[in-house]
Amino acid sequence: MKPRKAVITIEVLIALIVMFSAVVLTTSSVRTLNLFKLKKEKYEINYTSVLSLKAMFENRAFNPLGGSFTGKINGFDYEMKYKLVENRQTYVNGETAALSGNVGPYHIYLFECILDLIKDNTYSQSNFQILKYKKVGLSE
Amino acid sequence: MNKPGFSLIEVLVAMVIVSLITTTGMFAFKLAINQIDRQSSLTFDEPMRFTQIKNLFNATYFYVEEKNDKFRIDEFEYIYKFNKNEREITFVSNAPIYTKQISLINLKIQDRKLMYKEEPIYTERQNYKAPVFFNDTREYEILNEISNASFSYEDAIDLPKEISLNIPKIIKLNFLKNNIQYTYIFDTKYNFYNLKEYLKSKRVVR
Repeated sequence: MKPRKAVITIEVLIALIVMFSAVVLTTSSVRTLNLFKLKKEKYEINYTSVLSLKAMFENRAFNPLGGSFTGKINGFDYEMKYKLVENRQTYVNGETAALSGNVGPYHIYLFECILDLIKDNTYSQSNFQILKYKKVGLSE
Repeated sequence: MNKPGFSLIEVLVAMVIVSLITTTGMFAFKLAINQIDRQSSLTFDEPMRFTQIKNLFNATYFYVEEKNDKFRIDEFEYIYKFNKNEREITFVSNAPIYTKQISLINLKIQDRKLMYKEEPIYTERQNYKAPVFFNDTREYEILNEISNASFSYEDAIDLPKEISLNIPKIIKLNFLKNNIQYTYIFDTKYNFYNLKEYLKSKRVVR
């Protein structure tokens, strides 16, 4: 049998470069995919948490002088601060197709809300507005 | 034959080929990632499902029942149907997921899934149908891989007690997923017109 020639330095170097490229490519792929997955999960949890909290705050009594709510949801600590932007007393009309016309005077409050969500070292802030109606001249 | 080692030219050519392959590979990979990013951002499942359920509750609706009296054709009843417990909710919504008709909706926690079904309560010509599900009513899986799931409810603070006793303002879906306790919160909405007509008829079907 013919004896095999040993590999020379250049061949070894080229092999090393190819291997190095493969490793770099694989690592960067895994890292990018992981980052993408985390970003997606973060978006999903932020989206559902902010909208859930907004729905919940719409059923909370607000102080016209302003205030805040704190608590936990979906693994987040949250703090929501609100302040009154404007308030008016006016008549509220029903739907245009309604036979009933206006439904009487209401005091309407517009609140500006700032919601902070904190989880481990991540932090995100959302803003939204909430309207509150209070019937004038009627006690519940 | 004794083969000599690679010449400088050969090595340079090899290096150029390797770098070309690497660059092309990385470029293709980046394109693929961008493509995935674009597609996934359009089809985020969880937010889409959340929004669909949110819209269902936001459009909680009464249905109008015509009284079966030929001589008093103007007799209608505005009825809110809202049956609820820890595992299941049945109600009428103006924004069902799969049809455009006002429909009877059922959300049920089954095994590790949230199942959904809908059945229109009016025909295409707006004739009233009984608000019931049929044997062939199709059931869809709307959330999966959820454990320890349950519904809980909060009454409205600013509605007449007559309504808030029967229809909750807040519906909470609590579940465990990937060892994290989640709570999805939805709210029902009424407009003033609905409320007034409802109070006129003062009837709730349980």
